[in-house]
Amino acid sequence: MTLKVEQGNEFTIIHIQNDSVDATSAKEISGIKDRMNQTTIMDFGPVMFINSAGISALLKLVIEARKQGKKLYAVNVTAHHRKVFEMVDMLRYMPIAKMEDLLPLIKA
Amino acid sequence: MTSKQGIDESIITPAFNDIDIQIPSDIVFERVVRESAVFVAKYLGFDEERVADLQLAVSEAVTNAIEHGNNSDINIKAGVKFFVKNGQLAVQVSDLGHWVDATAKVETAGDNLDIEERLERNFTRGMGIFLIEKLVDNIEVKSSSQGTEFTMWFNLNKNSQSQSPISFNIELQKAEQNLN
Repeated sequence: MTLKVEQGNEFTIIHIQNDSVDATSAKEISGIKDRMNQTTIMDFGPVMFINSAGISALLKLVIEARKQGKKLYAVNVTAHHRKVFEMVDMLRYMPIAKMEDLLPLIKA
Repeated sequence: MTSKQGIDESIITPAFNDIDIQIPSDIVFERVVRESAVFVAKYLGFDEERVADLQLAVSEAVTNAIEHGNNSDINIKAGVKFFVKNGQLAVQVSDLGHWVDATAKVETAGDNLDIEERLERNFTRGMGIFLIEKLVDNIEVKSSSQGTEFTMWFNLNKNSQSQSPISFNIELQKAEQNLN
């Protein structure tokens, strides 16, 4: 299992547990669209590598979240992945935040 | 000190000889090349950001070769060659596919990326090329009915802070010509 999902009443935290978000993990990411909550947080903690297959899966997820009126945030993103997310316009849909800044949202 | 070719010869490059890797065309083996690219980039003294850039660009090129060039046929090998020439690291990825419209594919890859539209079209190959275009210094494509050689060039005397415009050299060979 490459994802660990933590679910609350109003929030979902998706902890990516692989070091790579690529074609292999893309299928699993696509499978969590029905588990998103009003506030959904993607935790990229151990992720060292993301390629276009992984980005496509993430983009499909964040666009689905937007269609459902849900807010998606990314936490623990490396500087390189921030750059790549900017290149593909990902941040328009999934802003990068600090976990401590999101705590009021998930405790509300 | 600069040579006639415009190469800064004051840059000391570690001794390097060509590295050739052949992988079966199954996406699980893409990682073999990706990890090799990290090793080569670190060996040649790339900074952390450039190592990550090279790793991603190589991953995208190899994924294209496996999935589109060789149709994920595990019996066909995708080739990857690392070599240093004229102050640049080249990563040459070869497959059996033929880019009928290579010029259009590369030149339009970065055009106003409308991500939602691309996703609706399932245009992930375009995203891969778009990323490569952003991350490398030069791209060279040679394609014929015999196969495709896609070469990415990375300047050795460059760090992640100094960005320069990319250039392309695309050559569509006649069907009867061999890549070699």
